[in-house]
Amino acid sequence: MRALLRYVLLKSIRERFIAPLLLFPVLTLGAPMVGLSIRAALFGRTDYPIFLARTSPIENLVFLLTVVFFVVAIAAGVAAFWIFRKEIGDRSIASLVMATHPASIPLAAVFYGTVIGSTAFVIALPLVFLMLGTLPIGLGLTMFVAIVSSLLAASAASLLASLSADPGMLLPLLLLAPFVKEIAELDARWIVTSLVLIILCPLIAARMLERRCTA
Amino acid sequence: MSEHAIVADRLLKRYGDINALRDVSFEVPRGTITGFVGRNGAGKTTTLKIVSTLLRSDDGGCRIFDLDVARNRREIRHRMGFLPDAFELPPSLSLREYLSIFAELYGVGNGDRAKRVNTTLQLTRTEELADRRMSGLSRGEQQRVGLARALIHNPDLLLLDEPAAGLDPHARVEFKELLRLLRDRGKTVFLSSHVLADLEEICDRLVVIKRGSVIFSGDVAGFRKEMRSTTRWRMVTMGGQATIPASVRGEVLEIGPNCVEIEGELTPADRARWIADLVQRGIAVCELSPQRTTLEQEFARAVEEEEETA
Repeated sequence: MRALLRYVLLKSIRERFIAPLLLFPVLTLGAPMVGLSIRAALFGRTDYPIFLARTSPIENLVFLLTVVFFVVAIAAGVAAFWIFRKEIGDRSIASLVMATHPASIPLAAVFYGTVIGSTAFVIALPLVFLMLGTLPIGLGLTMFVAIVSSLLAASAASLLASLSADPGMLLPLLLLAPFVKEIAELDARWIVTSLVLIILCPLIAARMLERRCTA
Repeated sequence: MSEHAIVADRLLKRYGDINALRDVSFEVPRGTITGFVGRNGAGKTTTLKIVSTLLRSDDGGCRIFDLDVARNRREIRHRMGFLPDAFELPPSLSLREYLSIFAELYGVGNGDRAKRVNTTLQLTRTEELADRRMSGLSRGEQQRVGLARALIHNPDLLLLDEPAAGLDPHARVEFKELLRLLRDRGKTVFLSSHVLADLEEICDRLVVIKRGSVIFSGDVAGFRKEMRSTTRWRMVTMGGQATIPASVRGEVLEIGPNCVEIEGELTPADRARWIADLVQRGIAVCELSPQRTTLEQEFARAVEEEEETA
């Protein structure tokens, strides 16, 4: 597993996709800020802190955090999908399957995706503060939600990659939005379901990878 | 301990209605180089995938070093190195990093890893590539890198699927030398190839597969013996046309002004009679020699004969 993580880290640094993934949530959130700043500069109207019409500051924070959790989950999913995408596409994944336990490969992808998602969340938090002028009280719990959302998206992405390395396979990740919303609301049933999926997806992915090697 | 590295026993594999393998049985003795020959679609890659534990057969069994491929996949994978027919290398990594990662994946300890990487680089003559990123490698370099990866954990058995394909003549010679060296070190090599001339030169044994069935398994000399029912003879003369006396039985293959080639079994007495007959008619005999056919010709003939029988 350590060797696979070394492989993953070297690849992502050398192929320069670690920075765009880490900055993806910040850029997604930063874009509205830039737009508002331009509007303020042009028309002299400032809306700061940013808020949604007819929402309380708490609702405003919850809404923005849910968006952040989702964007972070997508970043985690893309990272987990992309890291072995080429190897799966050209079937050189067989050499890794031969050298190690097949489950190690999706697990390494999930670990990598979760680290990317969680780090991206930490990077995005100051921007949330900057946009709303406030931060959630339970930072630990917020971090927990970000980690579970990232884990879920990365697990799902590892399974999707094992089915096909086609980038279009990333689209089903959007279906995770309801999961992320319910996890953010700390709904126990959704969290348990997510944990089951987090365990199942890499296991199925391992079987699928073995099958792909035979093609 | 079995004397065989691989024992395939009545392997059967179906893809839908197509029988990819039918009753495939063969043995590969330890410490030998065994060639696996067959036309495209004959079942070579399917067999290699079953032997390499990547694919399960529908019926029959395969044992590698006495271990069942269906039950001992992990152990077998650690005792074999597999070089598939097509593979890609991560362009952003250097060969040293790549080999070091694979050494770790195969469980080579921290202390031994650098040494093992260096030994493998030396063995596969890839030292000059070690610290370069693996983008833009030539086909020959890629094959050597692939072989280095297959050898990094010092396996007892090497499975090579079309390893010489795309190599230039120089790289091919080097590759053959390397395989001989590995055999001399006690490794077993099982390789598939279309380049039969290469196999003839380096293989101790051959397994010939056709349409999913093994039509020969044994040593190279045995293959020649089994596949060749007759021998080609060439007679070159001076001062007259070489005619064939009635006492010499054989099929005329080629006839020229001073040369004739026949196919048939000629005993020393037949040959003496033939020469005496020509000399008596004032024709000088320059040469009467058996013509050695290449393995390629024998293989093509074996396959054709099988097709005619079918």
